[in-house]
Order: sequence, then structure tokens, then C-alpha cells
Amino acid sequence: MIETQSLSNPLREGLVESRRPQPFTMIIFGAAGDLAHRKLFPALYNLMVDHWLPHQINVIGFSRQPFDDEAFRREVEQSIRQFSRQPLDAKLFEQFVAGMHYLTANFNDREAYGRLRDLLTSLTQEQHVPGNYLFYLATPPSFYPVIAEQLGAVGLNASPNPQGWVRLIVEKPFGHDLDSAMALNGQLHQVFDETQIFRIDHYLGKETVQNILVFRFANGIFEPLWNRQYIDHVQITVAESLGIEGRGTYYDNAGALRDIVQNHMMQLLAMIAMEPPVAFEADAVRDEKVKVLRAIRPLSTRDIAMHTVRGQYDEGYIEGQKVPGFLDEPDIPSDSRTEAYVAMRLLIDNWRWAGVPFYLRTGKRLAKRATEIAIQFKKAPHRFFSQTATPDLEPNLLTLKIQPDEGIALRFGAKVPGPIVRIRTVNMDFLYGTSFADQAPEAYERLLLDAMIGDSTLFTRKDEVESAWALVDSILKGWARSKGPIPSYEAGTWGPAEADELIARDGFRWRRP
Amino acid sequence: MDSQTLHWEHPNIKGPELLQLLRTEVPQALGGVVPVTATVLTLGLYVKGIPETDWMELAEKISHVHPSRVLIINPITGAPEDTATHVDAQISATVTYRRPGEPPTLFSECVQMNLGGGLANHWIDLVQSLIKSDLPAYLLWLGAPPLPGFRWDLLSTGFTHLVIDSEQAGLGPWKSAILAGKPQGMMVDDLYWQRLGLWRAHWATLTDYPEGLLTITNPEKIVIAWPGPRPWGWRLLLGWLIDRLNWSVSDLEPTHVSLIDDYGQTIPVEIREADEPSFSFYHGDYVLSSQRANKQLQSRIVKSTEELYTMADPCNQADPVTDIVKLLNRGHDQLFDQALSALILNEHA
Repeated sequence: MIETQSLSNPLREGLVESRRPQPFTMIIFGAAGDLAHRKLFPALYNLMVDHWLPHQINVIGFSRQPFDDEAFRREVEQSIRQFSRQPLDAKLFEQFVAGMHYLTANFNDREAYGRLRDLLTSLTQEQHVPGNYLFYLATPPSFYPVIAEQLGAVGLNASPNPQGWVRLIVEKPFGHDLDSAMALNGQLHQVFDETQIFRIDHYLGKETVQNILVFRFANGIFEPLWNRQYIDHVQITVAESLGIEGRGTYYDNAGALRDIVQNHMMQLLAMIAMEPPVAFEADAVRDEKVKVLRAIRPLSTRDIAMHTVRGQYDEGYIEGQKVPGFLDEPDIPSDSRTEAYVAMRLLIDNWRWAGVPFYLRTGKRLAKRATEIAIQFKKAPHRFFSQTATPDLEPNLLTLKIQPDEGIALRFGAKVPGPIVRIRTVNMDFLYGTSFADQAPEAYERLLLDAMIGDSTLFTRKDEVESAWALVDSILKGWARSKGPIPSYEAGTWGPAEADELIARDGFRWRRP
Repeated sequence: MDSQTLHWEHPNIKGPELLQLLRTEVPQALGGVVPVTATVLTLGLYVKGIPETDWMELAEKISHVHPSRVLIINPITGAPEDTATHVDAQISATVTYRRPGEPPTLFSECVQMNLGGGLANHWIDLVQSLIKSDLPAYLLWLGAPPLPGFRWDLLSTGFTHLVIDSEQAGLGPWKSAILAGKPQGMMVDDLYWQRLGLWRAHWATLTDYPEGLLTITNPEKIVIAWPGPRPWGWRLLLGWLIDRLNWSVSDLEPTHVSLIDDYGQTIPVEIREADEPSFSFYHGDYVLSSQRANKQLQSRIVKSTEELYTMADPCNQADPVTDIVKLLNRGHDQLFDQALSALILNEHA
């Protein structure tokens, strides 16, 4: 194989296919697991159907489950039939699985990593492809350092080809607290450098989450209003009507703060509050997000008592069905102090946001499933219409809806037709489903493609993870010192009364998404 | 979301009546409720002289993906100027229902206008009034190119994009449109250029391989075979390569072209006529050849007699709806302008 003269490909520039990655081999640790079945294989298949993949990709499954190549391919077929957004096409599928291989091995079996290296070497040589390797750790987090160390030990942390690349994708949760996250970062960094590590948070792959940046920075009218002068407060809601769905053991160890706030909600907050980056490039975007996370005012013990609320749901009704309380869920100890609900008030100490409260809430078994960011603007400075019949005039509200109804709504006042001045609140609505009828790709498709290309904009950097953990850690420690009862709420409602009191102290109330 | 499509027919009406009907018919059919409009663009289909096609069906398929007002412009062939100006109109509107209690959404409208009398020739101002303001407006010209003197200057004040298909008649007849549209910012897009996108993507993938990159970007000779008698395809592809690789044209003839690479070396290009199109690039011992055959675009890279790579991409059968939907998804392709500038508009053959 001859050396390439230039790393750039002049014929790729300007093409729709400019984001097509170079030929590579993907190695999935935990390939027999649920994540691989539900998300990774369907995402890979859909990328291939939509022509985003290069002509030659190999996928190597690495897992403890005993399969041979053929059995692995049948597993992949089943996964695609069940979970792919595009139907299985027999001809394409044949092409898809032609490069699939499987290694049955324990994650700490050094000899198996030698076999993996040999297989990678032979595939690279036989197919004349560059030594580009994408390792995906779809395993329990406890195996991340083990796998990284073993890969390093057999030299698979670097490509055999000077122009090749090696990347490592790791799933959340990334650490259990700040110390464990820092320790894990340290362990991974002993083998891989930061540019090789792609920490995935699937929220960032959602079209509507990416649209936050487009909305803010591709439209000239909003950014001048996007500050303390015009914004009264911000509410971020991640509400789920589901319970813990058989994940009792995991959830009791995690809780809502670790499961949702530390990653998804901190990312949403950062994207809403960040300064415009100098370029839409990985480090430029992530630099600005980190600045926001670092500017969040630390919470003292008193602040934690005053400005955070945790809760657990009692039994109640969801869509007419009676559901058990959190403490009666399978695998949840009856004396568990794990939170299924969190609400908090945060302040961001920087020029743009000084004094603007950000209210975050998330919980299980709430009244409906909704992920939304609501930006409430200040009221008009002069009540020009105060003498008229306008008692219920609400301030302007911009709502970025992330799921399930993806879109944007702007609430404003309009005159009710008639001989007197009466103002009613109306909504200007944009719904993704009506303006863009094309099927959006799944979050994993976008994120996998980005990792294949080496674009880490939508992946979380080490300092982002640690900054988010620093805040969450302080809350966890504050709660650990508090021995009082944990507030409860009836399943199917919007959370405990204490959360309403938290926001009411500032003169606001929670929106009803 | 539930949806329903409403249909109307209005023979022999005047232009202003059509405008009024578009404003009033849907609310009337919905019992006086004014729907929210979700339209994101206007799409004109100029179909004069194309026989027996169900344009309304085609328009509805396109607007199902891109919520739009589709205007089918069908001047009645041979209509004498002095007969009464009239429009035979068919209208369909698709309305979707989001949630109970919320107003319905007008998702798309399709209007077929069979234009008679003076409107058969002077239809631009009628169409202008039907274009949705402040949104992209595409005019897809499916019929034969107009005669010289057509008022592209007038048309370009309403439509933001003119979509042509140069596979039919080449680019020559459209030069005046390209030049006249520029002052108003009307961009020209070409469905044939889009269909040739398979070749560009295919070569971009081949140049991910070092041997492919070396051979395509530093050829000592290029041999092109293309089916006659309208050899526009190879010109578009060669124009793209010239622009991407900073080459220039020193001679352009029907059977050969001389290019100068950025080191000042001459690259001879030989053009032959053949049943199936192909390009071959030669560099030292390396030959990279791409050929469309058996519904595939196939390439191989050979060093002396050793075959290093083969690659094949399926050539999907072109269908108008897919072509148009794809073009609307993509928007204007600046590579097309650059390829035109590099070769087509500067040709001295």
C-alpha cells in the first residue's frame, strides 16, 4: 500500500457525502448485550441503508456469550428486524453482515485481545484498508478500565498505519461521583488520549437538542434577547411517566440526579446558557459549555436544603392504570433513600446570566412524558394596558420542545377582536412533524457517524463530565447529611409540594408542559 | 397525525378567482376554521407539451415530503392568443389534525392550472401572485426550453430557483436563464447534475484510498467514453474535476480536451462514443477505471496487472418524484456553479 500524499480528499469537499467516513473496523465490546441489540446494530444498518458508511467496514463483536460468526450474524438480523427504523432488505443485509465477526471472550482475558489484534491485522491486510479502529464499550462501566488497559497492553490503542486512527466510545454513566469519574478519566488516559475518547450522551444526538444551537446561533433575532436584561427565568423539565421499568437495582444505585441531571440536564443547561462559540467545532463548542458549567454557583449546605428538592413517588394512576409506589418497585429496598424526582434552582454567575434563576426538574411517574426548555421573558416594562380587561396576560414564553412533540412555541399576547382592548395569550407553534416530513435519524445514528468521522462536537469532554459531577456531588453530599424524610408525590402528578414551594419562593410557578 | 385531502375542480375561471379560491376554499370546507399553514416552499412545475401525466398525483407525492404549494403550470398547446383568457383549475389541499381542540394544519396545496388564451403565453404574472412570500420558490421546467427572448428577468423576481434537466437538451438553451437570473439571485439547479452525483460520491470514496487519490488527482491521461449524441454528462463531471483539482482547460474539442494541472503539466483527455459511459485515469502503472454497466457504477484500480480494489455502487432508476424530493432536501449545490464556471460556460468549442 502506498502512502497517501495528503490527508484531505479534494473530491469530498462540498459533497453531501463529505461526511462519509474512511473504511474502518468497529469493535463492539458487549455485542451480545441489550444496547448493541436495541441501538447499535440498527443504527449501523440504517447508516448503511442511507449510504453514510464506507464501502468496507468490518464489525467485530466481542462478548462473553458463546457465538460463532454465523450465530452472531443471526443475532444482528434479529435485532434489525425488531428495532431498525428502516425495514430489513435481504440484499443490503447480506452486504451488511459480510464483514461481521465475533470473538467469544471475557473482557479481562489477555489472550483474547491478542486474537483480536491478529484478526484486525489480517482484515486490514486482506482488504487493503487503513488500520482505523472504533472501539465501542457497550459494557457495564466497571469494565471500561479493564478493557482500555487490555487494549493498551496489546498495542491496540494506536493504529498500525501512520494515517490511521483509533477511537474509543464509552457509554454513560461515566462515573458514580466526581472521584470515580476522575479516576476513570485517569485510567482511560493512561491508554488513550482525550482526542481518542468519545463519551456518548444520546441526548446530544437528538435533532431537537442540536436544534438548540441552530435556533440560537443561526437566527439573529433571539440572541440579543438571550440574557438577564430580557429573560426572567428558565425552566428545564425532563418528565417521564414511566417508572423504573425493571431497572430497580441500577436505579437504586443511581437515582434521578445521577441518571438524568448530571448528564442530560446539564447538557441542556449548557447549550441554553453558553456563549456563541468561535466556530462550530468540537473544542470551540465544548469550551463554551464548560465555561457555563464552571459558572454555576456552588451550592452550600443551606442552599441544598433551600434550593433542591428530592422525592419518591407513591402509588397512583398513570393513564388509568394503578402503579406501585417507588418503594414497592421490584429490587428497590423498602428503606431506600434514592430519589426518583429532583427539582433545583441554579444560578449562573457570569455577565449574561447574573441573577437569572434556572429551575430544573426531572422525575419518574410524573403526569406526562415531556422534555422541554421554557424561557420566560420579563414582562413589558410599562403596563400600558393595565386599565383594560387583561388580568391574565402572561409574560412571553419561548418553549423548546424536545420530546415527544418536537418543536418550538412562542407565547405572546394578542388583542381579542371586539370594541374594547382585551388581550389573550396565544401560541405561535412550530412542529417538526409538520414542517419537516422526512424521517429523522435516531440519535445513535448521528453520534456513531460523528465518531466514525472523528467529530467530537456532540460528545462530552473530560472537563465537562467533571464539572457536572462537581455540582451533582455537592448535592449528593448535602443530601447524605440530611436525615429527614424524603418528600413524596402521588404517581401521575407533577411532583412533591416542596418543589412547588421551591419555585414559588421566587414568585414563579412550574409550567404544565 | 390524521390527515385528509380535499379536492376541487374549477373549469374556466379567471386568474383572480383562482387566488380568491385558494384563500377561501379550505376554511369553508373546514366549517369556517382557518387552518395553520405549514407550507415551507412553493414549487412550480412547468409541464407544457408533456403528454398524459397525472401531474396532481406527482405533486401530491412531492408535497407529502415537503409541505408546499405546488403549482402545475400547463399552458394549453396551440391555444390562440385571442381566445378568452381562462384557467381550468384543479385544486387539492391536505389538512392534518394534530390534537383535539387545536386548529388543523394546512399541510400542502396542489394546483393544476391549464392555461388558455393569452395566459398560455403570458402566465408569469399570474404565477407570481400565487407564490408564497418570503419562502423558497422552485420552478421545475419539465418541458422543452423556451425560445430565446423568454422573460427570465421577470420570472426570476418570483422564483428563487430554476430547476432544469440538462440530460434532455444540454445546457446551451439555459445559458440565458443562468445569466438573466443572476441579478435577482435566482439559482439554477440541474437534475442531471444531481443524478451524476453517484459518480462524484463514487470517486470521492475511491480517493479515500491512497492509490485512488494518486491516480485521479495526478493523471497522465484520461480516456472518456460516453453515449452520444448529447455528451453533457462527461462535461459536467470533467468540469467538477477541473474545479476541484485546480486544473484549467487549454483546448476543448468534441473528441479531445487538453487540461493543465496545477504544476503546469498537460493532461490529454480523449473522448470516444460508446454505449455505456466510462472514465479511465492513467498514472504510471496505475489505472483507475469507472464504468456504468448492468445498473451499477463499477470501478477498479489496477497496478500493472494486479487488481488492487474493485468497488460497485447501484445505479438506481431515476424517478421524477425521488429526483425532486432529493433536490429540495439538498438545496442549491454550489459545486454545480463551480463546475459550470470551470468548463461549461467557458467552453470555446
